[in-house]
Amino acid sequence: MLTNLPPNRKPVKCRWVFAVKSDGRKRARLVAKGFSQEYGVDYEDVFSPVARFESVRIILALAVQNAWTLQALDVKTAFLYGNFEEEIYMEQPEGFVKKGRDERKVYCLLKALYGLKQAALVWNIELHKSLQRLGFNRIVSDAGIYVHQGVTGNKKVKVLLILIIYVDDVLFTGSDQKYLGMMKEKFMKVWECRDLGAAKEYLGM
Amino acid sequence: MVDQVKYLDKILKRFDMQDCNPANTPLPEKYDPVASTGESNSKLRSQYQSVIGSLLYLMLGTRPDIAFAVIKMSQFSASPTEDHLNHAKYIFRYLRANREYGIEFKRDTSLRVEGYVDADWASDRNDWKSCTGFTVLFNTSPVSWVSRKQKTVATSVTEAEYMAISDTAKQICWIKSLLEELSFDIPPVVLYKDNMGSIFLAQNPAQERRTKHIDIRHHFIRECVQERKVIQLRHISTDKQLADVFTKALGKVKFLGFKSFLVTNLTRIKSGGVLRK
Repeated sequence: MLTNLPPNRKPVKCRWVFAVKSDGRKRARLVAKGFSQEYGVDYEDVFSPVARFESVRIILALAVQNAWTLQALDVKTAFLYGNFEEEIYMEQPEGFVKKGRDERKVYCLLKALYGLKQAALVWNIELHKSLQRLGFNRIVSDAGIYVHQGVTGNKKVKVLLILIIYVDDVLFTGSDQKYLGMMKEKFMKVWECRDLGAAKEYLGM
Repeated sequence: MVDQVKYLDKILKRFDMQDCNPANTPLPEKYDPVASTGESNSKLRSQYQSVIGSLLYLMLGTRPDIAFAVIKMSQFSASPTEDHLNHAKYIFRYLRANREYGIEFKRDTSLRVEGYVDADWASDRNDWKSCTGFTVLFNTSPVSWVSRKQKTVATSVTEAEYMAISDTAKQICWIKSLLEELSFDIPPVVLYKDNMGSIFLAQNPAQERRTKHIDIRHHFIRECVQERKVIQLRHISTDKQLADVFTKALGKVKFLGFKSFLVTNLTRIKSGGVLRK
């Protein structure tokens, strides 16, 4: 939202980042320069929980022991979904300033951008809300792990689903493959994802 | 199977160590670095810190075999010397010779959880603090490992060992509560220790003159053993003490013996169609 900068505020800077991905696709992404944010004004809390490596290994060991399937996803442009409590002003990006019109105006951000200090945190808050709506509970021992207990079929067989969250990398595992697939579909309706299928790799391992 | 071979190759390249001389162990036997007294130059320091950072990531992910070496060398990150940097790079020499290793998770008739804990008393010659080392295994594969300098100076071997058990107990309690939240219940975790004195101390509420100064927080272990029955302590001979590898720079023979219990060679099982992370 283009607006006038309130007095006593400095706008956050931004720049374009261009990348060529390993599969040849090209990407242009506008990122905020988080280091130009002012503490207490532009941000407060920045900590965002991720799963502990130990939990990841423990869950993988359980998956092998119980012959569970693993399904991996990554959420596309995850950080752009976040909402703020703070009002953040950002200068207009290069190439978007029209000469003679609103040259001195700044943007008041409605959604998060990559590079902002609290980007990971505000994304995690949105993700957490959506997982709760889908019936997943965050466990106390590790804020990066969610569980879902449901029943399936006529015989009401109990099923357990475990979700590992590492920023925007998601790993699904659980006892019932069909049920897991159904919950994964539900998750992908909420968030636009890249479906990596049966997990060959997670967190670069 | 989980591994970070791709990441390892990337960092070997970044630090120009692809063609370094291979080494059998992560650090020379009994290597005992001295802390530097002076300020080190900022270029050396930033290079040192990026080497240690990369090694830490690898160690925390899939390489418990380098845990002691990486933690030991990381203690000099504030003011490293050339000698420290050379020894941090020595770890790369070991990794280059042992590239394709990772952790293999195995299936068993029922889930078996056990731990090994050890301490090396007054091993740090700079401040005489002791070192704690432990690992927790699921069906004989490590899921958790720690090599850490103790926070306070132990006045005896037994005290250092006792503090190490207490550290491990906290981790095992966490693992148990994680498993409970995932709706799994496990029998008491057998924790192997090679020091009878500390086992006795953990199992008996007696307060002796020689142990009464031990910080109260360490007596947490007694609650874990006696009341909550989370842990069952069992004696093991020193040569079978797996956690030894997390407390000191071992010689080749001993190191190689323990290494095979921690990490698995990928090329050996690649053809077997096992689950790869």
